[in-house]
Amino acid sequence: MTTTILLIGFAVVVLLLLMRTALRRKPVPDLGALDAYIQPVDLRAFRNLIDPAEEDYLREQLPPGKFRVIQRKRLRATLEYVRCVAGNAAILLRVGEAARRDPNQQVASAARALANNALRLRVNAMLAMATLYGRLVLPGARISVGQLTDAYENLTQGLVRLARLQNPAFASRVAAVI
Amino acid sequence: MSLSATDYLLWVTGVILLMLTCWALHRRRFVHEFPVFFGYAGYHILRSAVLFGVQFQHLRHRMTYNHYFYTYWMVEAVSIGLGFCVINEIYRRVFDSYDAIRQIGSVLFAGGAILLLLAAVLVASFAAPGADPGAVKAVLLLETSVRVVQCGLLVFLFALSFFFGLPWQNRLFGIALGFGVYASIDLAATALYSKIGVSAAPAYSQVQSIAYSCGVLIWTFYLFAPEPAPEPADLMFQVNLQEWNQAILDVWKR
Repeated sequence: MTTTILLIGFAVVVLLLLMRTALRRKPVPDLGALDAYIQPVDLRAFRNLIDPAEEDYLREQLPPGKFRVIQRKRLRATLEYVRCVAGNAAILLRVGEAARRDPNQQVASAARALANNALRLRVNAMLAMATLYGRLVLPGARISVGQLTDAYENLTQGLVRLARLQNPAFASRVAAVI
Repeated sequence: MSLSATDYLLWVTGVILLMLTCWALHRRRFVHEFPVFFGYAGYHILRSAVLFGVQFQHLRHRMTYNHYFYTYWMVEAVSIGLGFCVINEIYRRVFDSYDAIRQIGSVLFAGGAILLLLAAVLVASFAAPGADPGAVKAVLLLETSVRVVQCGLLVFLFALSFFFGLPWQNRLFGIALGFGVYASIDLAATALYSKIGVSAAPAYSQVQSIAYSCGVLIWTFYLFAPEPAPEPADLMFQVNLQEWNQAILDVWKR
């Protein structure tokens, strides 16, 4: 009986999830009204929040307990910024994806680049969110993700090299974007 | 084995909707885009014709119920295989457009399918014995396992799309949605039928037909629905994108 209930429960959850996804599908934003979809990100404030020197200063000046409380607040604020960036990347991905079917090849290729860059940013943002959640649990710890950064840089360099081989004009644009 | 007028009506409705789906695929030139799905829909029309013929012969006492039973499960086995191929095609279509994740579509599909198959086997091994004879019980367990894997693969795909923020084309979303609706209703019905037994057979058959018709109706609707008009992309957004990406990478570098 338990298996039957579990299977029926699973089926109902899947059905509800599908219905919710179908009903809450977002339309492709009109570029004219993109401001309404994009959430503004104050990059200066964001950079200040993730500045290691700022963190070191707080670590030295505050008692450990107080530092952890302040650090958690800073991490939560950082998470909010990263969440906005991830959402914006998803919106730009939809804009790029819709425009890549444009009959004008230049527009289509620009859209393709936009979509791929937005996707890369989205993945980075999601991974950064995972890192930040880890740091929320251990606010005093320094979690190193240097290897991932190196891998990302290798990936982007490889893409530029490939683009240079295939289309030099496109390569310069790729290099400028990434 | 005799079917009621409602059974025939549901059967014919499903076939007509499938024909509409094939017509929509052909008319909107989507056949080259979804060759496996087109093959799947075409196969199901053929399957209905074959089963209808066998059923007709059975009613005229030229064939036994066993003939119908084995014919049904032979064509169903092919249908199950094709169903997985269609889900694989959906995975490939979702990921193929993006250079950064092009290669992982098939890998994720294969990995997800293996994990879900193990889960389905585990669920089947814990299933309580029902009132049905051995062959029927085995078939129901197989049906349950297949639907669990199909539902799981589609949920996994939607979760991945959410993670990557991938947009879906209308038609691709419709095919996945139709499959998911059919597989989830069929899973619930099969689980319930396995528990109740043969007395629920007529209702089970009708629920299956209704679920299938719902799925095909969703395919037809989305295949006829227009895609959103493309908007010209403006490269000015890439400047912001670059800045955002650098800021996010700084989070990692800390």
